Amino acid sequence: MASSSHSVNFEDIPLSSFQHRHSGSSEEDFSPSVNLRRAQTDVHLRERRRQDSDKYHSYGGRGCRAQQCTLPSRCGGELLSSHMFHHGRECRPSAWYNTVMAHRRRGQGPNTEEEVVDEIADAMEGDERLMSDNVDGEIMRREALRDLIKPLRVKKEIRRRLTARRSSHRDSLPITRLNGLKYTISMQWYKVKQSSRKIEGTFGTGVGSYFRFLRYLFLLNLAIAILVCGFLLTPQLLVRAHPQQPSGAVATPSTTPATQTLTPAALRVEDEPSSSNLPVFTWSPLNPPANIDSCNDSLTSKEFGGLDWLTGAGWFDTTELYYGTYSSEDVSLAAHQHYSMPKAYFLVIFVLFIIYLVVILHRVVVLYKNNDIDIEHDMSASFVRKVFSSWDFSITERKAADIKHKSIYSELKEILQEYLSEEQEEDWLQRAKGWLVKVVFWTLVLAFLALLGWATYAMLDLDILHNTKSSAGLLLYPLIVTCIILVIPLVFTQVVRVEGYSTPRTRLYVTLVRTILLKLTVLGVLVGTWYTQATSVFATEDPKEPEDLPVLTPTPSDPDSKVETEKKERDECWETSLGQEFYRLLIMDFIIGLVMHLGTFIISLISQRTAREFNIGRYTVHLIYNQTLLWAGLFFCPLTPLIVVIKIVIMFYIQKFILLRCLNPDDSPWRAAQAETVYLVLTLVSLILSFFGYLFILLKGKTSCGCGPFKGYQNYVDFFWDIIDKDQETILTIVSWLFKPGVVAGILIILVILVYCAKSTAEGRAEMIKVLRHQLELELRDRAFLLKLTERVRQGPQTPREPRDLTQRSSFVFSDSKVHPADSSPAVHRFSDYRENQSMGD
Amino acid sequence: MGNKNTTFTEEELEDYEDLTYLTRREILVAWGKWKGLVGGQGEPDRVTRYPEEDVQKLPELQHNPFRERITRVFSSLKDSRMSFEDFLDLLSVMSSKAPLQLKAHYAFHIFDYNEDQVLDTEDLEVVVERLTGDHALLPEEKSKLVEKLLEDTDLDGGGISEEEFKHLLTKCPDFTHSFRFSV
Repeated sequence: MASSSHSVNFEDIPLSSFQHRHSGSSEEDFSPSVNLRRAQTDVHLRERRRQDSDKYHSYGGRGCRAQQCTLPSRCGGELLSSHMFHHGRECRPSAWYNTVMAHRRRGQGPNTEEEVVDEIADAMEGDERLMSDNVDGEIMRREALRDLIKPLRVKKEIRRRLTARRSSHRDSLPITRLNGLKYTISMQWYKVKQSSRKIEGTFGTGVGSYFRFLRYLFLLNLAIAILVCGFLLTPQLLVRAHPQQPSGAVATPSTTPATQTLTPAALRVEDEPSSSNLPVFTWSPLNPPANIDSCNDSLTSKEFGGLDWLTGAGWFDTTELYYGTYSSEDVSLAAHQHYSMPKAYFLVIFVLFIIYLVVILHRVVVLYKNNDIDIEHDMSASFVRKVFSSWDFSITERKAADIKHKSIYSELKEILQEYLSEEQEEDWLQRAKGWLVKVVFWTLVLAFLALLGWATYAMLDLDILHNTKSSAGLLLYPLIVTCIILVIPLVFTQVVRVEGYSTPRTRLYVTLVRTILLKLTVLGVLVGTWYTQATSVFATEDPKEPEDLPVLTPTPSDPDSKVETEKKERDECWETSLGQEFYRLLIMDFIIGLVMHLGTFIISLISQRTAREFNIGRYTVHLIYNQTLLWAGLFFCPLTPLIVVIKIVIMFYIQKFILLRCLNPDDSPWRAAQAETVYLVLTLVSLILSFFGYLFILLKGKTSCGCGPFKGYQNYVDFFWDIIDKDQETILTIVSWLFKPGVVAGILIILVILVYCAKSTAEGRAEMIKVLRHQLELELRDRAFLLKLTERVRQGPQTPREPRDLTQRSSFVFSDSKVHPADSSPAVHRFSDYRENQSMGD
Repeated sequence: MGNKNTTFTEEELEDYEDLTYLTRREILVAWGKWKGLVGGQGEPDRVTRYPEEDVQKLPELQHNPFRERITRVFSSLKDSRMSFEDFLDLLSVMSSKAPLQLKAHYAFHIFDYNEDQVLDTEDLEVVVERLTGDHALLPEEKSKLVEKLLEDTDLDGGGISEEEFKHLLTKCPDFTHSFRFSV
């Protein structure tokens, strides 16, 4: 690259220096011409800029960023301030800035630091808006100074001068005692916070993104847990606290007067009868359950066993942990306010799903917009990223630095490989072979997954698991599943290396997808089997299929106990037992996680050298698996969010400790910005899948008639019919109104218009990007041209031939002719070359 | 650390807070660090310019392949010696609140090894060399890489100018993540 013509220090050349030297004729000849040209370009630019910002409003900031100050001459050879760049609204440079630029154009550039200070301070003083005495002026001054790209000393000096001349007296008292205390406290708090940032410091942004994801899920689940507690748990607990009265009877405890003063309206505002100072409920079961007698015994409390914490069975059966315990009654408050538990249950779960869906979708869209769109359309960006932003400046450890060096090295190597292979143009045979290998491996993996699914199914049928009624028997099986889920991904990580994917990132994503598939398969088979088993029992009520009982129920081995078992079957709540399974999976997963971390810790204690690395991918998938369990179990075990929140908190501290004590950072290229999007997309997929699962259960599923909020209904759908039956009128009117041709057509038209608008906006933006890129190219050529001019003038006085050329040149700038790459080569162009080129271009 | 507030007056702190992207307590933390870095014995003062070896003891700089460039670019007299205010400048740019354009400006000068205001083959080769550390690429690999890089990014030939560089980085969301200290 012959960069000689460009390798001029702008600060040193600028127009000022040579203009001083060639004062006299050449200056007079030259500067008007430059100014003329500049005026012309400015006109064009301004017009275009205005159009752009009108048309592409949201694009304003970026558009201006690309256009502003590309001409170095206009910037006086350096960028003074980043002020106008990051404020979308403040696209135009402010007055003081223009003053400085004008100075420089006139050739009065500063040479020493004092002069810089003088210049800027003077310019700022001349700016009325900036120096105005109100709050706006104060803020503007602050920002203007802060955004100045100058050393702090200079900034301080300028500020001192400004304040001195504004003659505002600020007392320079030492820090008061109170403030001192305040700082001390805030410093302490800061240190606490800093310890969590330490992770990012030692392990880079990849691990940081994992922990950010963890925090995000934590907050989300916390919010959901609060909702569940407020709308489901509290009413239910209140119901429990006031034991059930005989049907029809109205309980009026002694504290009635206090509560009856509460107006129904106030309750409606709160929308939940959950406040604890409101312990009074009058009971009026509007929906007397059909077989209330047979259900009573299932609600009796059981003994609390030590292993119950692990199995979630026994004592927990009758707690609010599970679906089965929730009341099917309407809680009636005060006068005419009813809190219908079935409706509440249904609505809460439904609303929770909608919230999850909306929140995660929103986040995905935001992240995608911020991080991915630009990159996808621009291949060169990936290269730039690898060189200019590959070093993580937050690294503070020798170890991490070494690993970073290594990973950058391998990445660059890979790029080289790619370029080389591009040049050599792989022949089709090789490519076909590559594809074949991939297809074969995918088939193998999928077959393996299918096999695993079948194995899980077979395992469920094994008598050995059913026969043991003990808690250990219940635990065996989640244990196996969890082990499968934790071990197989390790195999996948190895397998993918053989397959020959070109970049490590693809490898990572392929493994990620496969792991997710694995988890979904296992979970799907589990839930599916449980579900069919459970429902088939209650649907057919056929005692001839003892192996189809839910896991909880022991297989009747001798005919004597058959009657008993049958009775038990009826009382057994399949939703509850399903909920227990989810509980067990969650707990098991937690315990095995703990054991693994402990193992890592012990190993690192024993041998200092064999430190393992923190595999972000695996940990992330694990987190997503947790989240999937939460969603799948939400209906059957409404308190899962609470459990998961606690789990996440404990896991966070353990992982942080382990990470800082005994793990190495991962050396795989894990891009923080994109990785987060990928995590969330995968989470979204699992959410949608479990949503469909619920939809299926809702439409096809049989309720277990003996328990839960929906007891008394045969199917879940019946519940809807019931609601619809109750207020037939309103629903009929709504439905008939919805299906009027006019309404349908209206909705369709609106949708079409919306789609059209979105499409054209997208096209417009794409066009805009093209225009801006083009403009950028032109501006750069512009700069090259001006540099050549200065070079030329510097070499010797020139006969005043410029004006004509310049006007021609400026017309060229904004003609739409394509810039040829050959044009832009940095060869030693003479000024006349441009004319020739341009005439050719025309 | 809290009782050392006497080194600053309220006004000075306010100055620093207004002129940088740091908060008050970050400035105080920075002062603590600065003392740890340069003040072997006695109280360091804010105006004295300390040699780069002292500054490079900062954990974030210790293993940074561009450390000598960083101290040079941020040194206000361009002699690699840094005063406390220069140090604050550095931390301000490296804070997460600093805008991309400001970060890009300094990043550009850090990468511009030969200080000719343009990232050319020469600079990029050094940058690549520093990035890979001990695992050195072969010279022809290096030049190939740099050539490709320039081909892809350089619009007008003759190296990547500051404006082009900034433009490139706007498409690179990772940059703001990676170009900051975790303090």
